[in-house]
Amino acid sequence: MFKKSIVKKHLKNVMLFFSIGLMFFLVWQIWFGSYFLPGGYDYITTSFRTHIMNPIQQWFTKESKEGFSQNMKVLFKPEKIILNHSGQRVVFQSGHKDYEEMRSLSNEFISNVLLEKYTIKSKVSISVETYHSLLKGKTIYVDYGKECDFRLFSLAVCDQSSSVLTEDLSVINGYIIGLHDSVMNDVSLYITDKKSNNIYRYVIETEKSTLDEQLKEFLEESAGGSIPSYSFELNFHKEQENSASKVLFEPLVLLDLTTVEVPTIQLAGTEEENREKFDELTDAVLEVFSVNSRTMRRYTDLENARVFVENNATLTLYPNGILEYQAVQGSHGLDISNSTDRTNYDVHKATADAVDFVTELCNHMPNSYFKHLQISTSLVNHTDKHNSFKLSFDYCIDGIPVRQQTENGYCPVIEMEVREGYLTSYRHNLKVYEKRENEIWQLPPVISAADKLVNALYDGTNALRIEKVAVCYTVDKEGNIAPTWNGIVDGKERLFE
Amino acid sequence: MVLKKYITKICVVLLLLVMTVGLATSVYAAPDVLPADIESTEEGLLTLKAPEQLITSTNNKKLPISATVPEGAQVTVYRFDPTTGNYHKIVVDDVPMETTVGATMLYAGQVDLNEGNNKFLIRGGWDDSVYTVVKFEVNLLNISFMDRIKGVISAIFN
Repeated sequence: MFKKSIVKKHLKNVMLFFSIGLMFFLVWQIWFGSYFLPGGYDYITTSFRTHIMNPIQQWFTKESKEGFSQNMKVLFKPEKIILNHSGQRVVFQSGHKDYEEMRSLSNEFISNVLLEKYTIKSKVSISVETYHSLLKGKTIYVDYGKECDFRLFSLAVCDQSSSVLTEDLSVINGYIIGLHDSVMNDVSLYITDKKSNNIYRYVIETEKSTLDEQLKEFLEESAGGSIPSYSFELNFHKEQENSASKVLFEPLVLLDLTTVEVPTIQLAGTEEENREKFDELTDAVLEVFSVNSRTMRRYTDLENARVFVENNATLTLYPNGILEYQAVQGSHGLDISNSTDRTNYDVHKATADAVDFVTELCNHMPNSYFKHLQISTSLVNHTDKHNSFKLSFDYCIDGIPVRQQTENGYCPVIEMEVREGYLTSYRHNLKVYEKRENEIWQLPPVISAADKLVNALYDGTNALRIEKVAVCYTVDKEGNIAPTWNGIVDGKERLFE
Repeated sequence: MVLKKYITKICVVLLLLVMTVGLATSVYAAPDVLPADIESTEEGLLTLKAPEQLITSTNNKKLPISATVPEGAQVTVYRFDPTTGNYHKIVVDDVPMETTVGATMLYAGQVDLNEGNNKFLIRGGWDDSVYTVVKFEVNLLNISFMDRIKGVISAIFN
């Protein structure tokens, strides 16, 4: 009798603990997994995560900010660094053996200025003609090739968004380090604020001899042969009275006057191997996009694409490696923001959210994939759609982007739209490309490529205005790869063909 | 007889074909040497864009040259040789500095400067009888000279 009561008592305790455990399990599933919520009630889980879990998480994950700035250092690099000295000119692009060293040298300099480790002796405004003339002297011109909010730039360079130059600068696209400043032998930093069009010269108190010696070494190792010319040196940036122009180049467009050589590239792996890799990524992709595998609807369409449909979005994985996410019109989309504060959603927050999301997805891919990515859009606040930002990333080989043919033309490898911390659309081509060793492709001089552009676009009245020129690899729908000149012509990106 | 006629017709056609192809593939090349006193036969065919002045000085060893020319015209760059007293077509790595300009109507090239005075001539033309020439000079200042100037100015300011 006594034993029976003890057994009964233990059984009750066991049942009690089991019930409590089950309760915790069910609550967990409801709050974090939405498994048992009927359709349309996902907002309960989202709200809990946003208003309770995320703020708690932020207390413990301060390194996420540092992670973002580290990722920005990888994703936001100068397109080219141009070393000038009395007629010698060397262009360093990613792939050049000394690019990282030059980047490190210039980064260290500007970082020291922003962190006030170097003192600014004076600040003056200079004219655009003076700014151009600097490029013929002893200078390092660091060109990012796109505009960037200065706070983001500062974060990418020195891990902090606010600095001694924040008052003067809103949007920049590069800077010049002048080593011999006229006859006074000062080191100066020259930056253009693209918002106000003011050009500032900051005279810096620093020991320039070390920098000077390093510069000489780079020149000795790399100089020789034909040097590219800026458009302003050739006077290709302005009309002349007695001869009409069909095309004008922006003053700082750098023009190669001879044939250009680029590495030959190919698709990494066979089609079959790639298809297997894309299949292996499916679970990771579903996890990153927070697709509930138990409640989603899935099917395979006529193109053999796997389609995952949720209440507020559709995720499609095509067999050729294209991943597309599209939020349903009217719905928010995927919450990718780390912050609860969605007011004043600016380019800084949008970039942080986008970079974190892309980083998370790339963590499931080979290590080297992330290092090939580069942000390709300008990172500036819009004057119109101030809550929505479109960002794109290029997959680059030696700094040259690989653009895939789509129905919208040749596009970067990742295109996404973020609105107030929600991902509304995302397109990612997961194919990987590699260099073919010891093989090169040749491109004609850019003027020859511009001839084709004029034939295609010149309307007989206004000169075409070319704002930027660069090489890219194009991959058509059949998988044929070719190097091509492309650039920004009258405000739009175009291939020179 | 009929066979002879056919053979004759075929030969005429072939001859015409060869002449047409020959004409199509022949490319006009400007003369290799021009006299120092050469003048334009037609004005306005070529407009020099860089250098902006016909007599300039620089301390850069490489000089960018640019011009505007009608599409299809040929541009050739010459350097004056004081020993011969003539302008000689510049050849770099066995390739003459000679280009047929395309739709942009822009020509761009680059020459190496010797220390001291360098005289150049740029010719834009259709053939041997229709062309414009522009002569220009560039003085390459040596680096030690510039350093001396800088030193003097630096001493004055300090």
